[in-house]
Amino acid sequence: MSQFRYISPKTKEEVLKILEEEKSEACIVAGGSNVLPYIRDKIIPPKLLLDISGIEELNYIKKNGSNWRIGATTTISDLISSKIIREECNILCQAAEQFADPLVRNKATIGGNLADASPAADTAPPLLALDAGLEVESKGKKREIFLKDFFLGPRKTALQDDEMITGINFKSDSLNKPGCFIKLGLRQAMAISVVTVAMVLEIEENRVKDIRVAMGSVAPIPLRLFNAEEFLKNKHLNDDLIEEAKNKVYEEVNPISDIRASAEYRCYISGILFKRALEKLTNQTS
Amino acid sequence: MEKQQFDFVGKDFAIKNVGKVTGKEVYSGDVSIPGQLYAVVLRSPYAHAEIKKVDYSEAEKMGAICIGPEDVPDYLYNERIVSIPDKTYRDRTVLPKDKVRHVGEALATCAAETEEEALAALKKIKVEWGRKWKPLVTLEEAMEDEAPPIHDYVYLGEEKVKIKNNIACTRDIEVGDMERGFEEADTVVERTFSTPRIYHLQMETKSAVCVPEADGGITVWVTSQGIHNVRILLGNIFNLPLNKVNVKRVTLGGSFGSSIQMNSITPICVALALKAKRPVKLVSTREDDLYDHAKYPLITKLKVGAKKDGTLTAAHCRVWVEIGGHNIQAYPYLGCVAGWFASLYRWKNLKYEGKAVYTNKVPTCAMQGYGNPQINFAVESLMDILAEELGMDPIELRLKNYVGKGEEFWGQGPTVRSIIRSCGVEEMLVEGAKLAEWEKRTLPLEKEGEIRRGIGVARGFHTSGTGGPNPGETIDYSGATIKINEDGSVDVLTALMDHGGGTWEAAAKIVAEVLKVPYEKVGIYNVDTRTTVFDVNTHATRGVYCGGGAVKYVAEKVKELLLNYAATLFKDLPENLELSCNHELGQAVIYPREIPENYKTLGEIAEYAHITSWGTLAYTATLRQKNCPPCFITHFVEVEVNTRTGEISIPRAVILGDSGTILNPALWEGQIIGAFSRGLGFALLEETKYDLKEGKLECKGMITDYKIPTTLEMPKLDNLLVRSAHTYEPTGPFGAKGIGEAALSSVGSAVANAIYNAIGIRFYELPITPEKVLKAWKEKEREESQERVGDKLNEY
Ligand SMILES: Cc1cc2nc3c(=O)[nH]c(=O)nc-3n(C[C@H](O)[C@H](O)[C@H](O)COP(=O)(O)OP(=O)(O)OC[C@H]3O[C@@H](n4cnc5c(N)ncnc54)[C@H](O)[C@@H]3O)c2cc1C
Repeated sequence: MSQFRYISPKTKEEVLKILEEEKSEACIVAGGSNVLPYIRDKIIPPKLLLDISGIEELNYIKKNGSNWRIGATTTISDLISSKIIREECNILCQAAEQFADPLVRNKATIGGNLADASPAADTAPPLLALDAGLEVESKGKKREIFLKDFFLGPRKTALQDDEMITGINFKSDSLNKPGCFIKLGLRQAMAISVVTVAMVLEIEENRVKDIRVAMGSVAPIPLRLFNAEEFLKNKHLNDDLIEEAKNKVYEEVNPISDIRASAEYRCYISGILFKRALEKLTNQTS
Repeated sequence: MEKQQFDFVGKDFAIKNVGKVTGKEVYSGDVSIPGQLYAVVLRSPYAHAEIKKVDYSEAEKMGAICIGPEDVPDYLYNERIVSIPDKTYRDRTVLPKDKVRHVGEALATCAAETEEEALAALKKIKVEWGRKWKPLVTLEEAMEDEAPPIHDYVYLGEEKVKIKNNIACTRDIEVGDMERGFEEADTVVERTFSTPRIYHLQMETKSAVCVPEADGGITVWVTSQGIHNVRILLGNIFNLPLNKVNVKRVTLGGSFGSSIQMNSITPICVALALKAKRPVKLVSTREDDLYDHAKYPLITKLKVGAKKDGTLTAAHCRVWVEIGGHNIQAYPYLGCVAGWFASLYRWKNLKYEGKAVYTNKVPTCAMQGYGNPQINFAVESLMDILAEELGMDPIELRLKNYVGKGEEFWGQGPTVRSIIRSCGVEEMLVEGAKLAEWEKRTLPLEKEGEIRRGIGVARGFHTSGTGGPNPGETIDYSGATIKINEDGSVDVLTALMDHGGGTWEAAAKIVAEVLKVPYEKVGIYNVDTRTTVFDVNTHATRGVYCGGGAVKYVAEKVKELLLNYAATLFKDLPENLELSCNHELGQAVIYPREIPENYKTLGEIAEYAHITSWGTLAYTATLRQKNCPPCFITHFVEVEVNTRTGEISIPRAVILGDSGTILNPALWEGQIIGAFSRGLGFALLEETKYDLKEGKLECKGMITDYKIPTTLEMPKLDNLLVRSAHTYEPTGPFGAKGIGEAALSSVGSAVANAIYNAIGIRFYELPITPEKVLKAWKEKEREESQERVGDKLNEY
């Protein structure tokens, strides 16, 4: 292993200051569940490791009226054990429960999952479906980035060198609709997703009033399927329509072949999971 | 069947390696010696390349001790010396002299005061490469006439052998007259099957620590399934007298067969220690380990003939195995595959042709079954295909043809055979069918819906050890020293290894049972080669039957000594004395028969022997078992196939095992369940895939992308039934045979048969991944819709 410097600041301000000074020399470490394997695999060169896992002010789950805020270092386990998440934002709970295994979930953070920008990041599709935004800060500056604009490519994001994610927010109007998350992996735990789908759906008088769909591992980034959504809006759901919508999905996805699955399989499965999510949610509402 | 009352055998007690539970256990990587250096290994980035020069002068300037190809002995060896020397192919040196033969092959090494320094020094080692060849990744490429030779010459025993077309070795066997057998057949079926290379993924990666001693000898702590073979090999390689090499037994963190041979890092560590004249420690990383060993794959072309009534008449079995860059005994592997094949069913006339071929991949070795799960997949799949052709129930066909009691079993290839004396095959098939509700089975055509459920059966076995009336090509004996201490406690000193399957507990129970000493009073420890007699290895499911058999033999000798000595104290004859366990006293007691109240405890007797300077009640001996009884297994597996995604789940399984008397019931069940889990990996998930251009592992040595099943892939506990046959092996210790490797042998076959029953698609290649299922399902749907169109057209 190579030589690293390591700092474990206690406040957000300290982190932002170090980021300002060190810029791309610093590598934020939250749970380390991506960073450590990257070091091992020599993907990350020798750097300053900036450990933010001990920063209490970034670990929270808050709901104020319909406004939700989740701190960046909130772990996947924190999501599962949160009562309000389970009861009022179950789509995120479903994703968290299918994430890795209990040991990894205790370390892995939601901020790290998004910042890592893997097409397979399991919290990304539900948050995309919730129209989430990211609170991003640098020394003396705050800005918000919509999650849909955040991912630029595999491991590429809209974050600047001196910026960090401090929190995630979304509104719960979309949560009045039931939501679901389905994951297909090569095994039931500790599996990087082959394909995932997250969907929220609102039906009124048998018509699709609102729908938001996002998928994982089917494109270079976690993907919102705007075309499929538009296609279904205001239409009566029936088998033929769902088949047609599946074709929209096939047009939108653009997966790759890797050790876990071929592009053809991923493409085909994306249609299957899309349909399954739709059926599951319509069964729940009817 | 003999009914016996046991005090200890068949009961569950605390495990002997308590440190495993408390975290205090010392594995080879935990051993630390004052003044030790840390070693790291430089591994080849190329699959097949000439090494011109390894220059480590810069690394030495940093203070590191380095070893390159020129520093290691010229001696060619095979790291697995279980076979007799004449049947052992030797093709490797401690580090390759002329070229590397697979990505990840060690080619230089250095040691320094800390691991960091060693890694820094390693970066300074310069390798000058010569010619590079395109890696030979597949069997077909490797056998082509123009293919570059991976080895020019190797040795078979003392004979120099030229390697042609990269064929490492072949094995052809004929019994009866195959041609005539096929002529007598009413039905002939022929198919080709293949099983993948998979990685052992034992929890502990390989490690070694070596101390050069003042007398010129060495002491080594190693990850190993057989410390005496490591001693002999190290002595041969480094030209040391065999009493100057002391190999310490250290607890194993699992192995699945990957440490039958001496691990490749062991002599590297020794070479460094000898050069440094200081202790050296070498711990493999997981990446090192994934590039070090894999399970033998197998391609099988199998043709079988049968009469209308299901009687088999002939079989032709051709197998190919690509073994990677070195030959870790593919010759006995080919022999064993032949043996498992020949012993599954009464083929009557058979011909077997086996070929092992070098490729530029990680060397392959034994893993849970030594070819058994591989050939079982072919045979048990084909038995189902044959049953369908004949219109017979698969169980009926098996019952009609299986090799059972009174017939010959090939325990380790064609040269190690013995007569089967205990057999639970029929009981397991019949009782298993009831438990699994076999009669409710429907045909694939009768099923519908998105998720289809099917049930499959397959049976298998493994040998219990490699003994036989004639020694054959395989070395097989074990030994022990057993001594009674002055307080009546007992020590068992044996090199017999325990991989975690309960071999120690079994041995301790056997001693307790013979000497009637409470189980807790029998100690069994990590010893070394210097204080123990030879034990070949814990492989071939021989731990209980052979290792335990030897321990029992020695314990009986100690008992004889004890009764003779006690007779002098009782002023009686030994045959008039009774030895039994007094559970209230927690002691073995001896008394004149019919007068139990006149007992003396074993502690009193041993103490008396001590204070009167009579001596120690102890005995040392080795024993070779003269049989290789099969332990049988039967799997009934239910699967659910999702026809939309190709996913397969296992809702239920019924598994029956025949191990004769079961010494450790809980651990026995654990072996069956553990093997089932890993068998599911073999059937559905696992494969070390290679990139064809560079010959690298696609998972890059990382287990993130080498997946084995988790507990969630298993049926829920209530749906996993494990049962034992009611058998007694007359030649085994207290009637016992083995279980370990048998337990895995038919998992893959049963799963494949169940998948066929669920969706009517036969898979010939493992693992059966969701992608393969989906693809086959789509093809089937297409064909069926075409057929329907065709039918309609015909109607007009
Ligand atoms: C065994 C195993 C199983 C896994 N299974 C899954 C799975 O099922 N699903 C899944 O989605 N992922 C999985 N992962 C990947 C990983 O666990 C997740 O991506 C996790 O959420 C990362 O969070 P972390 O806190 O550990 O991130 P870290 O490893 O600490 O960081 C990840 C990246 O994000 C950056 N970063 C972290 N926090 C911030 C921040 N606040 N602001 C800016 N940048 C930041 C880091 O610099 C780094 O580049 C698995 C990983 C392992 C090792």
